[in-house]
Amino acid sequence: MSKFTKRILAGISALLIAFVGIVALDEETDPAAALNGNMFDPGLIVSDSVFYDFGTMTVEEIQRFLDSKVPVCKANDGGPTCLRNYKMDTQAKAGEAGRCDPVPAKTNVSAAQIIFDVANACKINPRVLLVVLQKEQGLIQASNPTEYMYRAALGYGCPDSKPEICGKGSTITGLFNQLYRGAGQLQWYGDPRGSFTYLKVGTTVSIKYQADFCDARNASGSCIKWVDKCGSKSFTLKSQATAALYYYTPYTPNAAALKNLYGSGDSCSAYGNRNFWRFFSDWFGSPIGGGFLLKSADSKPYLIVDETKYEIADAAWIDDLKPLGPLGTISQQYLDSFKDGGAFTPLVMAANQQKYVIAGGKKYTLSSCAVALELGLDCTKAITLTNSQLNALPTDGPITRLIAGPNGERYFINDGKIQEILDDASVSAAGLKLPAVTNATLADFSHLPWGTPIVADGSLFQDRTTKQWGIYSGGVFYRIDADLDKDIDFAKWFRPSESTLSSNGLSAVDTGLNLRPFIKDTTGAYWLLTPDGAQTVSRTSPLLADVPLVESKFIGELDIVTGTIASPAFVKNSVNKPTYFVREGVARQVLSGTDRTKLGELAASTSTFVLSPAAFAQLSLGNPVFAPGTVIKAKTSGKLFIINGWSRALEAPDAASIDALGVAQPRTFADATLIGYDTRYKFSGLKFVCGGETYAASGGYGVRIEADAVSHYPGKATKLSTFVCDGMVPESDVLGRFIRVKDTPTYFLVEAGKKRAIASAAAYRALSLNKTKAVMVDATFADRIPNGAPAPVKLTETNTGGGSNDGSTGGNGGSTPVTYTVKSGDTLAGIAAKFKTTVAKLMAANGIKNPNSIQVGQKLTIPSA
Amino acid sequence: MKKFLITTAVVLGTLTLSGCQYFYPNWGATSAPTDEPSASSTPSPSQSETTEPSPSASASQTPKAQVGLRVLSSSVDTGAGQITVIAEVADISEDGGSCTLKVTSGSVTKTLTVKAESNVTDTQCYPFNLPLTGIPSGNASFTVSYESADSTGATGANSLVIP
Repeated sequence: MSKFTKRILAGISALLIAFVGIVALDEETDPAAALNGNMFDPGLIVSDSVFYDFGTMTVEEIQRFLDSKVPVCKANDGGPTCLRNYKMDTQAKAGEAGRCDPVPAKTNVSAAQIIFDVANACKINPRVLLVVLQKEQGLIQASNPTEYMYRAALGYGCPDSKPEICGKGSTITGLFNQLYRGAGQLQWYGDPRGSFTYLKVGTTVSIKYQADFCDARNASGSCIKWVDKCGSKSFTLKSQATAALYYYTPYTPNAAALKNLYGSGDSCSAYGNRNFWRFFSDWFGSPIGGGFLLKSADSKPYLIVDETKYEIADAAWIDDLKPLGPLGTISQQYLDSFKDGGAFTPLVMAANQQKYVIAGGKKYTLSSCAVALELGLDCTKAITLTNSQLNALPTDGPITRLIAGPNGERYFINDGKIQEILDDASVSAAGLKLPAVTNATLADFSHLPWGTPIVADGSLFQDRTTKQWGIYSGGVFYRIDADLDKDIDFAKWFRPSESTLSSNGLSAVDTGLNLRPFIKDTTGAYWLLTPDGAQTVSRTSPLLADVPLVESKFIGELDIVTGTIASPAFVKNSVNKPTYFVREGVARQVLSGTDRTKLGELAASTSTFVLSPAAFAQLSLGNPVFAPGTVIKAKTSGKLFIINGWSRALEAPDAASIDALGVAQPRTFADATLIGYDTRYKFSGLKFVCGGETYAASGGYGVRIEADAVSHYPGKATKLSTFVCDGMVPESDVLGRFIRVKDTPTYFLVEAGKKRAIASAAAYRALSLNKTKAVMVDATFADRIPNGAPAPVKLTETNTGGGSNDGSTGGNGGSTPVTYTVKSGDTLAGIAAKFKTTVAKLMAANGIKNPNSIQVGQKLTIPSA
Repeated sequence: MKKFLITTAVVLGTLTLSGCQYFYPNWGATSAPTDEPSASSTPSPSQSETTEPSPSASASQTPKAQVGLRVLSSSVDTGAGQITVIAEVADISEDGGSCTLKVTSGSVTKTLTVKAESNVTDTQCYPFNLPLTGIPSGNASFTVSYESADSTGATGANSLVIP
């Protein structure tokens, strides 16, 4: 095209502008699918929040917008190039209060940069400037612009009716000057220091449809009679920004112009403000709400496509759609004017059916709907966006199911879930063939849930979020306790990987188990993890009350160490000296060699297991332990205690009672060593219960008391633990109600807690009816029974009550045989001698065939003497 | 009814302007309103702005360009006690000029001069807010004129009713 032709066309264009007030229509917009003129509100063409929002676009975004509007620049006729390629030097501007800030001079500046700079200096939305550039001279869509289009870019000082005066006597022509002056003017409107104060927001204004015609002039040529041929429209002015548009272009579109929104109306139609609204709506969304994302005060956000709204359920998608403008708030009434199109999903398409996935403010081409399904998207729900909307979203290659992280991490999208990939070996093990990596980032898929990671079974790797190592086995990630990690090299049994997974990547698998040295598996077996493998721990009396549970498959991956660790057992920490006695999940320090020896009789093994610090740390530590049956003298208080089982220490009244009971002699310890023992119970010194029978302590023996005589002996019967009872030497005699003090001739009748002297042996025989034997007791025993009145001649039955101090009343009629628990070092002969019976009787009573084969802990029935 | 609105025949936009004097009272006025003597009055030096320039004074100067003026709106607000007129100079966009409103009612003529500033394709007179004080009730007329270094122009007579 020659310069001449171009000038001719420029002139024709100018005349057209003069006539209709518009420039070329938006050729890319499909009128059938676009806006509806009924939605045009002359009082609110653009809201203030949109109009003055100068930060809506970056230079790059403006450039991309310009590129999208003129895909192919055809300005090859020697005239100026297209706006997308246009560059110029700009002079410094000093700025002016109420209009624009100062700007420095620049050289070879792109149009995008100029628009950006002016928008920021004059505080006008760059989108507004782009739309005004289009509505005034059509520069945005001009593939072969004229010089005049740049000269009068914003129409400032260049009347449509007199294009020939444009720029005469002024310096406001050219792209930069026009933008700076025009944007400054838009900012200036409404400033109380200026003259543009008469269009007031909230009042009814009347705006003409077309310019008046001059009907009469005076002799000097001045118009003295204007004629309004088209009329005007009255409405409430709702924004200062709309007032600014009317100051700039003082006409409002009539019904004909709005009815044919993408074409011409009639002779009274003016199009400037209509086209502002239309271009802005098509290119950037609602000029009222701010963009294509709108909501009312009480509604969910919506994506607006032409006349249809699509509900955006996921707030993250608002960010994904950010290039389409801010989320604007509009009235519910205006929102309701859009048709309801259903729910938005980030799968969209162009008019040519090309589908895209939107993420992170970009769009990614979709190769197939099968891929979409794996991404959790449904092609049948794809929304068709306008070209302007699609152009606002930069394309960043295809979307695939493989996402790369910044440090080599890889994520596979499968069935709408994110699966983090550990390494290539894991990919091979899963039989996966990975697609090319998409440019989309993991953050773009933050709305998807995490799935099971792609990890080869038996992998040993680190959780890079927590820095904790773990083993992936059977779908479980066993985290390795930090101490255990120091003791055991699991790489012996599991495949170490240099790759890592995030905690998010592991979130879909069971990761709550911290692997520790003592574990139990799903079959109920207990194990100790050692550097050599797993060693069985007897579960008959567990070392530990609570240990982590692992799948039996996990144990199957390890070497098995021979031998069983049974409890009760002696253990010690490999880095500390004290020995602990572990029983029923509690480890208690052993304070002396004597206790170590005695407890050894109760342990499954006399050996001491040396544990790693990690294993030892798993034990529950209790208070120090004494061997049951031990007598302790508290060093400070001087009190005597019989260790009655594992948790009670019976306070004895005196040393004599200890002697009478025949248990071990006291050992002196600090009072504090008894912490943890229950010392509330006391030993009466006379009666005690073992194995359900009530005994009397006398001379180092336990003398069983006949059941019906128990209540006549004073005091309560203290129930002793098996361990104490086992140390007791039972007397073969059975104590009835008659006693005789050793080395004295006197018989006593014990009755109602007192001993009553019997006058003579004959009297004793008469009272006892020669049936009940008077048992010889020592003086100490007898002294513990208060003296009562002399015995009567004839016996009268009384019931004195009484009983044990722990619920055991003792006695079952005297028919229950005595039992004895075999201890280390016992022989059958020794036991027989102790109970004044014979080996043969013991063997017969207990079914023993080999007198040399008795076991520690074995219970023996002691036959009557 | 305190406000009495009169719309001129050539108004471009009928605008509600009540109360604007409270905010921008004659922001662009270049001087206080002045009275012009009737034919029988004695001229005073302060009313010199009404004096027509003598032909000989400008004989050697380049003639100014003639421009047209449009009255966008005019109203009488008795509540605010003033006449408000909005006017613009058509087809020229320039700064530095001034606009003068001349209201004649009965034997009284009052004038008010304000600044003008450029707009996109026109020149906007600052709003005229002329106090009603001293202007008799009845039919009145007004004109708006424009003067700048290079341009001059005036409207024809417009009617106005002073209540």
